[in-house]
Amino acid sequence: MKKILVLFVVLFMTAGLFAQGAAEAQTKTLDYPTKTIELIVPWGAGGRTDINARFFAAVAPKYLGQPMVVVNKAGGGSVIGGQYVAAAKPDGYTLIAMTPGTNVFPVLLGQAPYDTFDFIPLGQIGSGTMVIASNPKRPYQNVQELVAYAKANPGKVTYACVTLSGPQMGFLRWAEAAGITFSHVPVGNDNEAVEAALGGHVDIAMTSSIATILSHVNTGALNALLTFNEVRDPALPDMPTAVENGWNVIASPFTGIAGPKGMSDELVTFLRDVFMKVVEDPEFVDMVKKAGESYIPKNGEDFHKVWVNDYEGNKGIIERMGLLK
Amino acid sequence: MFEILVDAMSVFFTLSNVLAVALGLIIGIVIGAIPGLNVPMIVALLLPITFYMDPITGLSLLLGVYKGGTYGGSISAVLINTPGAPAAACTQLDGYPMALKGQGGKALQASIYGSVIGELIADILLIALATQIARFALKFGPNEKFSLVFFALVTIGVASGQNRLKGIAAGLIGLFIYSIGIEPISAASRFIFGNINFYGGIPFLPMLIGLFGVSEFFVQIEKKAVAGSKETVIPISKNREDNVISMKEFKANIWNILRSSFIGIGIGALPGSGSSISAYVAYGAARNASKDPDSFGQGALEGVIAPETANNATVGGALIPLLTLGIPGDAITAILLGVFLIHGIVPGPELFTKSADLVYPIFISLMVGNVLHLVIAQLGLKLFMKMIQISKAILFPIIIVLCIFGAYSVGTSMFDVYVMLFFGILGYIMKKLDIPTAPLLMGHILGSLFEKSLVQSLILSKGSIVPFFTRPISLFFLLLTVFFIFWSGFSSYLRKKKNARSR
Repeated sequence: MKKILVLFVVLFMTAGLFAQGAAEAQTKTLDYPTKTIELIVPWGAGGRTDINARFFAAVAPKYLGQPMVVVNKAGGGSVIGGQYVAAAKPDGYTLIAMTPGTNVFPVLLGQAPYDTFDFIPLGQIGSGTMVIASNPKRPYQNVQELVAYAKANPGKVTYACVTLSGPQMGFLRWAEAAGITFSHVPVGNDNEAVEAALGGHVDIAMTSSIATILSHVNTGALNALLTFNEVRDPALPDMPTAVENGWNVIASPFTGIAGPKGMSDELVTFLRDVFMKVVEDPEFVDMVKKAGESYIPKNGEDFHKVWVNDYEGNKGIIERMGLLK
Repeated sequence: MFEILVDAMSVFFTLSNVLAVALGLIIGIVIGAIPGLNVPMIVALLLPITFYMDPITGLSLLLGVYKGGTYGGSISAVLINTPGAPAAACTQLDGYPMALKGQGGKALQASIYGSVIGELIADILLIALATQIARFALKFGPNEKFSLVFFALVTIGVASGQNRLKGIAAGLIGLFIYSIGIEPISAASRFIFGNINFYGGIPFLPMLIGLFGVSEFFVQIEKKAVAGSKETVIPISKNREDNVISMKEFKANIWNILRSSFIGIGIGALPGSGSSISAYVAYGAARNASKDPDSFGQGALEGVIAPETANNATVGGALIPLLTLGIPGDAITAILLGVFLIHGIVPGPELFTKSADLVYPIFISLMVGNVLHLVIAQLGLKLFMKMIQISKAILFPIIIVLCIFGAYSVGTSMFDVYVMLFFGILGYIMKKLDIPTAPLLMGHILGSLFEKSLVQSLILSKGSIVPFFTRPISLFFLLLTVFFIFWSGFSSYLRKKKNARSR
């Protein structure tokens, strides 16, 4: 009896293997997708990347005809999820919610076993706006006053932000362009930076998104001084960007979707096409905007440019400042 | 204020909202009670479901889970010596000895009353004084936080009672384990040995599951496998006084409950700390205030009430910075922040003006949650008392499967399962050597705040330690630390003298 059972199991599994092989063969003629697509989020549930990914996965099946599930592969400062997708079969069934935190910084800092361009960008959903905010009790109320004050008192102004993160790189690039030195106070995340500035324990906070400071700016508990996106943020339309002020610094904490390198050209074209349909779907737009997430959709080629620009800009500052010991 | 609350009641009281709170509590209690499954995981799982719910219903559900889960861990801590949630690590110290004495029912009652009262006080303060409390919490800069963490670390020694040195040793091991990974100051790697899995540090939940769930599994295996050792059977007492708290006992604990509630709220209101810390500090404080500190660790009722009150008060406390400043203080409130945002509610100083129509009904949901918590937990109590009569030979294999599942599901990674296994073995060895495991967890939790606040303070003061003593709140905690050490030494000296004389 037992033997028969074992035989059945073996037969069943062999059949399964063949079925798998058949599915792969079909992909080559782009009979895609024929099964559930995994969207890997290399961070924990509930974070900003996760929220964006869940919105995307909720709408994507409309255009794919197959379900898309979000899988949180957190850990290792998002490198583990990144490595999982970089090493995944490039069949389009494993995609990743991409941010500079996974794709640019660990690579530049020598902490990732993959390369920045081991991924093929499918499109950008949005790009948060990095922002400098200050405690209003300080003797500067706008960025010009800050620059004048900091030049007169080198190293005296303290800024809180996460060590070797997107915001710190952006901040250092700006400080370099403006010719000022500041004192860095390391914190664990954006919220801790905001908390320290609100309590007056540090002078200014540099965070990766306007959302973290917006309500404090509206109530006068913090002053927004400078933003770092290509364009002004719709939430703070009167706040000029660094570029408008004459400092050529664009920092893009983008959120996008990407797949592993090696996907066939037909597959990439198909996925990029689906990507644009999803992000332009009114249901998706509505969800993203309601959640206060940034919505600056870009197609695969344009997203690729943002990505390269971010990589080059940050690589430059890391080398010039000697941040890699 | 009252008018707003009355209006909010009419918004809140729909069948689906009340059911959502009740369902959330039940899910939370069950998940909290099962070692291996944990609240952040279940909140993350429920998150996509709340997409399709009305915001008030969705948030009621998740806040119910948060409350229930913080309480639920105490059930398994008391009955099978395996805290189902980090917040209950401290409850185990006296809860399990009580169960061994046949007072499991009473310990669980104490946990229910403590949790519900702590929650109630915290929710009232949240509704009435959230803004003021948040403003005060902002005064805690790096210096103040460091002194507070220093104080909390000292309570590990105090709370370990007779086992002081072993407790401190375990705390230090915890600090060491925290230090693995990329450190937050200059992003240098520590003890990574080129393995990418270590970059983010030792994952917390797998460690927790291993330390408490898997280690107890090994203990139980040993009891089955080694000839001559006997399975521990939790005696079920039929005596009324072993199953309920008398009015006298309750009155004797009123100060304990109030003190623990305020400790819980205070620590909850400070971002970056959390319910495990407040439970420990409240336990240490209760021990120091007790007339009979030596009974702690042997099954003292106060030793169950203090941490259970504090950890649930922390739930309300943690909502204060989340709602008024938009700053989440722990893993669960971080997910809750995401839930608020998904529903288009932006927590922060403008919440009460921009989303008042949603916030006040949520407050009502918290209060209704307290009442339902009492009812559901009382009903559940009988069920859980029955469940421990299930043979351990059936119970623990189920638990180990759930542990593996829980550890894997956090990051869908086998590495996490290995971490769990490692800490299971470590926890087992520690139990064999009679070294308490809860301080290790405390060391790991406090490590990040300890290191960050120290370095931040020194950067801001250009290397001077003077501000630790000149800033009033910081000085207060340092003096409190000195008093704590002095008092626990002095009182035990007095008792020894008294005992010698009475002999």
